[in-house]
Amino acid sequence: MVSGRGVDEGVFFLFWQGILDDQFTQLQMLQDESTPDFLEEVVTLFFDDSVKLLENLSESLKADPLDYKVVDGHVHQFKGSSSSIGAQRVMQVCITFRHCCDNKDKQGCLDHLAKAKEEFNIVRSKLGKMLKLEKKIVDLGGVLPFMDC
Amino acid sequence: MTSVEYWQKIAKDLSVENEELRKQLGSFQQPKGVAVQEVLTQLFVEKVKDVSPLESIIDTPTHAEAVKLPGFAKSSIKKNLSRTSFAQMDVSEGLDKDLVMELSEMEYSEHFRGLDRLDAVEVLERTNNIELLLQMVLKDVPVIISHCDKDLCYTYVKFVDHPLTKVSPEDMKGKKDTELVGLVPGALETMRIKKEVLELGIAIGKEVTVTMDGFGKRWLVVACEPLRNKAGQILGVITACMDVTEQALARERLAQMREEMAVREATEKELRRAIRLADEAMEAKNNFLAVMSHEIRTPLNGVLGMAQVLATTPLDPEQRELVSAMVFSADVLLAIISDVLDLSKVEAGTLKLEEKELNPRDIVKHVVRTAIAASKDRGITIHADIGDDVPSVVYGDPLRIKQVITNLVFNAVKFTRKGHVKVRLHVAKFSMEARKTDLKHSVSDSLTRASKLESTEDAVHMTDRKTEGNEILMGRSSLLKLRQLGGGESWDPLMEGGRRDLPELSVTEDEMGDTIRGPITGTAHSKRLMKMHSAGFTFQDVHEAVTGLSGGDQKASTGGDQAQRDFWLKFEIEDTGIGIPKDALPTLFEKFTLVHSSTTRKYGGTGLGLAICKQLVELMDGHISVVSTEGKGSTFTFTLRCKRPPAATGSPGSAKLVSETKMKENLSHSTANVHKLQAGMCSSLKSETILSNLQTYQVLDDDRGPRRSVLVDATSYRVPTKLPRGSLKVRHTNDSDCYGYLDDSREKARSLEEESYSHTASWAARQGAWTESRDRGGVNRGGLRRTSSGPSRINTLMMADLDHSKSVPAISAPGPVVDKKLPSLLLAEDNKVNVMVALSMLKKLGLSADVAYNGMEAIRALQAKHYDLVLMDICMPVLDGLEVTRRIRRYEDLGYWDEESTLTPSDRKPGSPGALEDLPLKVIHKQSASSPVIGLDKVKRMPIIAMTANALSDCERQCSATGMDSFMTKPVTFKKLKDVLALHLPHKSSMPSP
Repeated sequence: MVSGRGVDEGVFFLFWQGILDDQFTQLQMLQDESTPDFLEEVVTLFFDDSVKLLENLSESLKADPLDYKVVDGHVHQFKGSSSSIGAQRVMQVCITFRHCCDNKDKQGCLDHLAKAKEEFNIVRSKLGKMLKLEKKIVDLGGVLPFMDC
Repeated sequence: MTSVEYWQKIAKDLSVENEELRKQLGSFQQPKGVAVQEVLTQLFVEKVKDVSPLESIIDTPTHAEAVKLPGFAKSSIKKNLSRTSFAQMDVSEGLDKDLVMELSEMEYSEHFRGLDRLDAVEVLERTNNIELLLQMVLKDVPVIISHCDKDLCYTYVKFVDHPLTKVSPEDMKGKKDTELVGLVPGALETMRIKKEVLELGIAIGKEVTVTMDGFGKRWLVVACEPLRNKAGQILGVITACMDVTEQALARERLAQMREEMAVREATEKELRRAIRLADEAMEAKNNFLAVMSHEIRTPLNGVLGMAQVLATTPLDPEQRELVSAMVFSADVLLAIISDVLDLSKVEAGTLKLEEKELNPRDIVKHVVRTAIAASKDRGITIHADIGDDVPSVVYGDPLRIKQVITNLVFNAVKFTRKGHVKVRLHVAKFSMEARKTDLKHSVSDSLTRASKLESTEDAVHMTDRKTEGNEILMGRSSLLKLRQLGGGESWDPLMEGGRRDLPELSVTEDEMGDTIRGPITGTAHSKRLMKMHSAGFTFQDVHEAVTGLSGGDQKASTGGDQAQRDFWLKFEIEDTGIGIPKDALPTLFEKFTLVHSSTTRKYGGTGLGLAICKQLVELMDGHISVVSTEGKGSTFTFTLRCKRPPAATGSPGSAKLVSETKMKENLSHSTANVHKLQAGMCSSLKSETILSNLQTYQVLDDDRGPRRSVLVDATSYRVPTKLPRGSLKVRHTNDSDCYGYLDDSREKARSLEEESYSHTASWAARQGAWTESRDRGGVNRGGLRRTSSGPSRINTLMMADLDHSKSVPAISAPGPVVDKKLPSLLLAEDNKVNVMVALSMLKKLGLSADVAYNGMEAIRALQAKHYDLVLMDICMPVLDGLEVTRRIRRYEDLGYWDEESTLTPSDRKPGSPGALEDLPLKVIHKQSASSPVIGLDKVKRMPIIAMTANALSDCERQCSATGMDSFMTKPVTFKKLKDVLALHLPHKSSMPSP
């Protein structure tokens, strides 16, 4: 049912692929006339913050000896912000990433860093398009979902 | 050498020998732990003292003394008989056996019996004086002394008071052990020891067990020593034997107890291990369920989200219906996933039911509509038959009720290939008397009632019951029994160890007539019932019975409000499907039970559905049963105890009547304008009191066409919830109120509303976290309120179901104008994105918050300023949320910040991960660590809301134990935040409407 032109690139697709979850609709909901750029701002903050965190993660994984507590701290941050933004696949990677930290599994951490970067890049590239689509819906007088406030 | 000289010599030799013997005996006794030698010596001396008058008697015999000491006359002991030295002891010529005999007769006749058989030589050789004295000394010593010759035959036995054999010592002489007690192991062993002593010439001691007739099993310590003459030749064996049976038995008991204790310890250890394993397994299960439910829920949320987005796009009616079904299914699936999780809660007794307003009619209609949509091509008809008497507003848990109906209806549809599925909803009727007793939840009452019913109800019923011989279940299972008459198989899960403390439901004639309808030929009853329905009697009867308001029924109205509000709803789901085999009925409601494995292959299913239904129904004080005929169909029936909303004060009866009458009238109308008007009135009426942004939607009801105004909002449910301390008082509206006020003037309505408000001043309305939860398990774990995750299911359903609706944000509801002061909030959170999102959500609620990016900053902020509430992240750098909470609570207890509370952890690492010091800090840093707040004797407790990504119950418990008031799982959603703030923010500073 959910198919057709435009849809694949939009919010449906992101939901469908599990890239985003319901939390993102929370953010959509928070954007209104008084804060028309809220989504963009928070997403941008997430992107910037994530880039920094990924850099920190890369650095901390190069350290010798490896301080897993530090790595875990970064992952925790990343998990928190991705969860807040609704980037659930990133968040999932972070969850298993933390397990690797718990197990002091260096290779696992490196693999997960790569995965996290990959997932983050997907979110970053898709969200731009998604935001545009959202904006379009609002501009056309559409109703954003989850208006249960 | 004269005879006297000869004997003197012999006596001298023997004296020496006896001294040796005494020493040996002493050394033999000593290792056994008895200082016999010493004792013997002492006693010996004393005895000799006693004997000493002999000397004088010998010298100067008098008659009188001779009388005192009869033995003296015949004795001829020499004068120099010394009392101190055996060595000097002499044996007079006249010493003979008579002395021994006399003494023995005098004092120890028993022990000396038989000595007369020994000649003087033997006496001297074996016993001499020392023997005599030893006999005296050993009188009270519980040792049996014996002597055996080289053939191991007894030549002498000295018994204590308790002989070991029935054989007298005299008779023992000349016999061996084995001859005395038979060839028993103990005797053989003793013989063996003696033989060894004879052969080896060494002393041997051992414990032996002898079983003897008349004495039972005895434990003896046997110590044997060779008796030698002066030349060193072994003459025989001296044996000392002590009965240690008591000690041995005590020892055995002790050993046995030790063994038992060891067994018990092992068992206990095993049990502890089992408990630990069970706990671990339970924890693992719960963790697994938590994780899995989250894993499933997340993609499902995606599906649901898409469907809901889809519902907002232009769609034709058919598509809209499909989307509606899709949303509903996803919604139900979400609910079921939650309930799989809840199943463990039910088992642990911690499942909480919500109690809020619901419309049972709507729920049934929604379910039926969805089932129709889902089974479009199946060729079966699905319809709802809702009694006029069923009220539109009752209290209960809408999600659970909907879940049960959905489960049963979809089950029915699944197993029905042709024919129909019918959902009936009625008010179960029963007499006031029965209802009153019913409220007592008494099984014994039900017994009485059952017997009463037996005497009054129809013969068929009675006969059947008698056949069954189960009177207790009769009242409850009247329906079931009648079904049985119709040839159908039935099953009442209560009969299989279900809850027996449930209220008995006495079924009136009407009720029975009702149940007879359908597959059973209860035409007469059916007709009568229909007639009653058509005449409107039923509604009236029920109304009177339940509310006790009509006709000045003072008697009824004297009952408690609770009793007046309670009534029973009966749901029946009838199908013409494949039916249930008789042998499958007993386990039908057990979890993971499917009728047959082939059923799964053919029809699918998890086997959880009916188990969940049963558990949920029973949790709601209800009862579920099934009647089925294989090949013809099944009817599942469940009854639920429901509450009506409380009537307003003043003249509640009339007000309620007006309300319900108007409701009925209004339901018959079909013009949208009327409802718009109603909605408008409602909104204007409520505009002063409604908390947040309510939205009113016009909903076209089912095909019959009555239109109803439904308020779709989280706060549109009135809930009889007592306000927690410091909670937000909320007023709200509901559709029935709207109808009730329609015909009244606005002022009157306002007045009623105010009265109602004052009556329900202690109520708060909330969805999810606000709703008073009934803890069926009787366990309040931690007391934290967890805001529900996921979308508001009812609301989303409503949204998707608004096929003909146009959302009309008719109500613009400003917040209470009582106090404009905004609550001051502190957000302790280290994640920038989280902070931004939370602040934005707060902004949406018209609130703002100061931000602390770590625990220490939070402490400093709290020192500098008073806050009404803290949103506290658990995992923060520098100081975690739990520690901050501890310090805050300590501050509240003390009235000032103690030094410890203001200390930064020494192990703090600057620039530790997550310490986002570079962000602008909104908190005013006013270092007041060294200057505690003065004058704060009692600091008001501040609500602290935990925010954590860890949704597990352990974390929740930990937060609760630390002193946090609520627990909010991350990611924070708008609803969760709104609910939790509404719950904890003080009324005077309640949230403004966005």
